[in-house]
Amino acid sequence: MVRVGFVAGEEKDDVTQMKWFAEQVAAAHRASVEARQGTEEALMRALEDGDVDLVVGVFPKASPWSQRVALTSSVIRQDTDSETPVLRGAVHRGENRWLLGIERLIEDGKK
Amino acid sequence: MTNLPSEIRDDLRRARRLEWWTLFWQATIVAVMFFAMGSSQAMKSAWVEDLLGLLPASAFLIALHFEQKEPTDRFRFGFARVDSFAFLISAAALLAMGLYLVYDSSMKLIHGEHPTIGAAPLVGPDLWMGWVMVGVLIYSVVPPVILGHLKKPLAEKLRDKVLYTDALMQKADWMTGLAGAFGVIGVGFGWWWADSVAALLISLDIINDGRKSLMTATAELVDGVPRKLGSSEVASDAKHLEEHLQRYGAGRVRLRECGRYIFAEIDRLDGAPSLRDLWPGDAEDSWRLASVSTLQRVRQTVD
Repeated sequence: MVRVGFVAGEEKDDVTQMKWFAEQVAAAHRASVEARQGTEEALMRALEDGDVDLVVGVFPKASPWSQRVALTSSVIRQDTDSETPVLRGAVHRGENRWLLGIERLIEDGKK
Repeated sequence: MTNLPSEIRDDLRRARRLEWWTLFWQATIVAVMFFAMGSSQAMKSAWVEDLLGLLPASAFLIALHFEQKEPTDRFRFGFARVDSFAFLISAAALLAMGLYLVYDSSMKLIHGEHPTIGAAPLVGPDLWMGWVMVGVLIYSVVPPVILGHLKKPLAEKLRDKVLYTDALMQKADWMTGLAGAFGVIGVGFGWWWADSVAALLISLDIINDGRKSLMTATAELVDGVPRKLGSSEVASDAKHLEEHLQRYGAGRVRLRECGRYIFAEIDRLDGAPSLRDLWPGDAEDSWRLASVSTLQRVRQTVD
């Protein structure tokens, strides 16, 4: 079971892609998604507290949260600049194996 | 190098060459580290330390430049003491490096900071950035090991405390580089605390070296008796010199050290010995005794 937090209030297209991304991550680990929705702040705090494994939303690379959580690269397209918000995941800091696994999945999806 | 003792000119040239090499290699390390550090705090600390490592080598080259100058109207005692000043700067840099390392590692341990090291930029997730960091850290270890090894015997021969402190700084550099590499590999295994603990242990050694150097540098600037390299004990050649000067009826002997040279003040001198006669040890080290003055005190305010 992968506990995923979806940031509420995103565009409809983004919501579809967020769900698809979370399912890809869970499938790669032969797990299912346990979803919850919330504000960016509430979900990031839950991530820091270890209550969720992955937060999916639309954030810029230079988000203030990047100091407190580890952000993945852009899920759909290449990162162009650090200010444009794009769909990406966030994981707990120091979860390097988990982060690298998700990065591999993103990279394979782009090929 | 005309204004320097001929016996040490070749060694000084070699030391100068080594310090230029140090600046060159250290600059490449600083540049490579800057691009590889990413958001890793351990790498940032190693980068700050490598920047600090430039100080003793620069201080040595500046001091040597001044040491060669003839006395001027405004500096009638010459510039031998610039070396003592450079020694103080180098010793302070070494101590600052040790203290910074303690502060930095303790903060990381207290805050339970879990370093995040992801995929290498440009290469992608096929290469863990940690391996790039380990490669850079190992590169940062090689020049200090070689240069420090070459500098230490030269520093002992030249009685050069700046060069000696620089060799200690290089030791600190390679030790922290290895601790950093160990730390990054530790992070790979999930031991987030590994590099902080290694850095804390190493910082104790660096602080001890820095403290001893700073004490000797301070003693030198307040005209203390010449000290051994890397120690606050009185130098053995200074002890022998004091005894030897008594054979010439010197009376009260006051020795002080300006950079690599010893200056002696005595009450009187029997006969007309040369400086070389007054030196008790090997003739090839007699350059160390730079001046012997007999004093006729008009009034003494400090005893």
